[in-house]
Amino acid sequence: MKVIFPFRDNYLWTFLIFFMVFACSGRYEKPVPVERQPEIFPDYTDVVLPPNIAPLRFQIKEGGEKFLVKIYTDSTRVLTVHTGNGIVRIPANAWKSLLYKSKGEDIYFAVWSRRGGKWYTYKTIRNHIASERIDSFLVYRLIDPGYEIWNNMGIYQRCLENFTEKPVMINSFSDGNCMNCHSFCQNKSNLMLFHMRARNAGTIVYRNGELHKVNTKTEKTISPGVYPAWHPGGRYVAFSVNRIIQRFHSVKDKKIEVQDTLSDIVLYDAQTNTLTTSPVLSSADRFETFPAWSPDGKFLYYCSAKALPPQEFNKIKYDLLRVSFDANTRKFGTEADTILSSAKTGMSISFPRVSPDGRFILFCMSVYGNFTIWHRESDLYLFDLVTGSMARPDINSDQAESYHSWSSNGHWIVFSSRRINGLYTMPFFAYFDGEGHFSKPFLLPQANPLFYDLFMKSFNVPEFVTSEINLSPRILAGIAKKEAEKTVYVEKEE
Amino acid sequence: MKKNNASVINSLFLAIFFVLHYLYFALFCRYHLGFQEQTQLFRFSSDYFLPFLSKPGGLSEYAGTFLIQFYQNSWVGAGIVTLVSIALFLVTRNVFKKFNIQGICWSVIPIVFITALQSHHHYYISSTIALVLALGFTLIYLHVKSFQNRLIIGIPGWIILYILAAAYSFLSLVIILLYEILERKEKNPVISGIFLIMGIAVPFIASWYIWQISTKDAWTFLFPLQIQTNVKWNLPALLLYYPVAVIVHKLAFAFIVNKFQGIRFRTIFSGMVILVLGGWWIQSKAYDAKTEIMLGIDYQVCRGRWDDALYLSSHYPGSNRVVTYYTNLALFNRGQLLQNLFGYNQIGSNGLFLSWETNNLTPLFGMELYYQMGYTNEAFRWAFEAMVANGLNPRSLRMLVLSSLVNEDTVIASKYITLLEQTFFYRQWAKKYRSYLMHPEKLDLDKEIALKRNLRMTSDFWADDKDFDKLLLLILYNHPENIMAFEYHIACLLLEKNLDALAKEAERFSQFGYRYLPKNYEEAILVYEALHRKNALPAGYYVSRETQNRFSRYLEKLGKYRNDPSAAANALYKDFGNTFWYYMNFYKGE
Repeated sequence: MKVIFPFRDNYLWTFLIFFMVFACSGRYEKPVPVERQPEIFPDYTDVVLPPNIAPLRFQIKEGGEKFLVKIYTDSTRVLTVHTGNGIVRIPANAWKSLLYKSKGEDIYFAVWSRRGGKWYTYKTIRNHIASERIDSFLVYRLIDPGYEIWNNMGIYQRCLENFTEKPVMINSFSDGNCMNCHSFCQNKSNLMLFHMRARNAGTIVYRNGELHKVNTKTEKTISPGVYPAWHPGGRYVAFSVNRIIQRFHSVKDKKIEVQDTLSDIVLYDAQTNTLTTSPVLSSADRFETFPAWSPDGKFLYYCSAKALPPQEFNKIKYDLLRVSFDANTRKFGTEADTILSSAKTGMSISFPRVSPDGRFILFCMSVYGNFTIWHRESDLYLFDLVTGSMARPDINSDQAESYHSWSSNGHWIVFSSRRINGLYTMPFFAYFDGEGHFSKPFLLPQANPLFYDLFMKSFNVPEFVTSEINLSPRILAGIAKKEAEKTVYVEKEE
Repeated sequence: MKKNNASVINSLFLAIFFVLHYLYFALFCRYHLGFQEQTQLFRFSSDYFLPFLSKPGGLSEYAGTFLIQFYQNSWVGAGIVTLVSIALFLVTRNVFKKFNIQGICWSVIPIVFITALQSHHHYYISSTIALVLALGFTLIYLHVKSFQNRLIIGIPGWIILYILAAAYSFLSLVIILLYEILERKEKNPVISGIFLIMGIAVPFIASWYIWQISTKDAWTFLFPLQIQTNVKWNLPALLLYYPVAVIVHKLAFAFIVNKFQGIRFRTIFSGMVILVLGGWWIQSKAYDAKTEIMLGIDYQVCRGRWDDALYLSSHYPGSNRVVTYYTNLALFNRGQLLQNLFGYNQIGSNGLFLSWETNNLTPLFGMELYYQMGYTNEAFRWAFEAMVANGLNPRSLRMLVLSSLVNEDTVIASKYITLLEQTFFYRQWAKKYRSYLMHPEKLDLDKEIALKRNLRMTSDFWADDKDFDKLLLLILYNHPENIMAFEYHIACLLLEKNLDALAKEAERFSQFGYRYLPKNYEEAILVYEALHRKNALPAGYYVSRETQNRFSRYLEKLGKYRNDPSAAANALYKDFGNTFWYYMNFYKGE
């Protein structure tokens, strides 16, 4: 990141601005400098922003009767926000204009506070505006971060360029059932699916402008499809099929353990509503799960662990493998390659996602198991398929980092993190330079910076989507209550 | 003179009626009013208020939840319920007057239906508020005379009413239509047509274009459809009553002119009939004494009033797992669990805990045991699930705060404290724990938190209520000094009649500092020693002379009914019904 201005000393620049503001008003008083940046929440300091992100509204967590925030870049006018309570509501239009004109530049937040009749000025916060846009929408499920009971839940789409959030589907339209695992083909809003469980069970598939409800449970498979991964071609979906148990710990710092007792991967054909698998992906003595496609659709990446009984739950460690796939013949390779072994890492790998350029794999690692949101030690790791090197980027925290996805241009990731309070999952974004480096993550901005203090839901399975999903609960309610079309199992190919 | 007398009689009747109404709720329904207060949380904040605007009837619901917070005091709660019922009576009476229905008893009957509904702990006052609003708007509209004004007030007014009162606005619609058809001097079918169209179009537009709500919610929101018992029939009865009363009155007037102009009940007689029939209706069809007692025990347990809980438990008719669970909790807290376990109805070891169920009551009730026993993770889990099932509520939140502090999750504790700080009745409690977060040294000095921290599990195991005694042993393995787990373990063995295991535990009493063996344990040991002909007690412990004598008397009397267990049970109950021996011989399981 290049600093355009010759002034490396933020105080000098800060003083000049302050002087310009107050000298003209005849209210000039020399501010008292504070030798640190102000504490703000969310932490929007030293981050890289997309040029199309909604305003980064924040709360100044410093004492004061009045606050003044100046936001500026090297090439734009100063945007000023006054606040008496420390809540900085950056106006949307002015912010949008400022970012639009300042791609690739640094953006500064200069903060003053007034207390006891004096003004104090803090070290200027510096962020950077990337040239690369972020996908316009983020889709997530809002759920209670609980155990077994659910109440209100829904899948929502949030425009990242403003604060608009709309429901895609909410369970008040489907008799209060559970819905999960929304998934999109290459971030496209018109090629997606999600599951419904309990009442009105089935998988809703939206493809070619049509909605279908299918029942992917067959007599040959362990369960209906669980974790989905769309093949880039948009016809196939790799699903895990799992039999899961959930148990509850008794010691502090641990709450829930979710583990597979059976697990395979199957291939669903959305065109013919059929299901098949491969011996490589459905061996009896291993758990195969978390499918993820390479961007060219020629490889399926997945996690695999030696099948162990439930009492040996803390010895189950997943490797990262891949198997070739030919979309024309719908055939998998006969052998899988081990990309990363848990024996080598000493940890268990889960949630692999390949970058859009096919070079990197982002995944989670935890001490054991795979349901990483309940593993506090779970972190994100990056594997370079070209160099074969693995790194733990500096985007992790001492709380769980878990589900993640790439933006369509590969320059942004979103991931779930419990770093704020250890229980409620929130979505964080980070810029990726394409060479293996991430910027500092920042939290999804909200219209009210105090939103996260009182919000009682977790943001689950955040996925980027390039455009608005043209579905709503009203539209989906009709298909939701219909009988699901039964998926037919086609014998696996030897 | 006659008119004055009638007026006095009316006033007297109403006064008696509403005083009785008030006393009914204050004395006979106070626990379920208290329960409603405990299962919802009114907060003074915009983020709490705004979601109420996302559905029709939201503002009535908001008003209802605002009032329910005052149910903390049962006298105030009963007063609120009665005042709203009085408002309903007044607005009903004035609406009926527009139809020339004069007798006050006509207007009292809906109160009987509402009282029956309100007797159920799942009926919330927001429904009554919405009904009052609906009838209030109806009254305003019925006073408007000109066609033009009826359009100006009626159309936007009814739309606003739908936003405020949701499903109850349809009742207003029906009454308005009846008035337009039956009572208007200048009838105009256009207005009736407009109202009919509005009644169909407005909910449709609301659910499709304004709010994200299902069709069902658009038509029924605020109706107490969650009530599943026969009490639910009071709702259609109430809704139908208004149009039926109007039609019946009109028909009767049409056929019998003059003599019964504006049918009046003969107030004293009809008032008496209403009081008697209404009372009978509520007592037999609506009032659930067993649930009220159960909620009363819950109320007392939440406040640590163990003796009051035990008193109510002793008056509970029949058998109920929640009641037995709470009874045993109260017995433990009174130091009586192993002294007087069989002095109360027992249902085997299942009466010591609640089995996990994914409903809104079990987690709410069951968390208390685990918190008291120091099994904090489980207390947190049950409290969290209770919060998910019921929505934000003070009981769950307080338990979440306490268990989070015990587990040193101060950030998450702070989140829950923030919610309680926004309430009127719990902010002081929240303030105390907020100060702990600001000054962590205070947390270390809090006896309750310190005690629970000392009892935290250090060796991991899974939550599993399929074998409760195994769970107790795991807790004891973590903390052999956990006296509650120990006493529950002994109680479990007693209730399972496991004499061998009981005998093995004799040594442990000294670890907990028992100078004398608890009575029920003595009783079990006597049986063990009689069967095995050996002494089971370690040095320093012996069965008291009193228990030994009592055992002799029991055996002697039991012997007289050797061939008639049923007669034996009856004969022995009075003197020995509270002993282990009686339980062992005559309790055969649920």
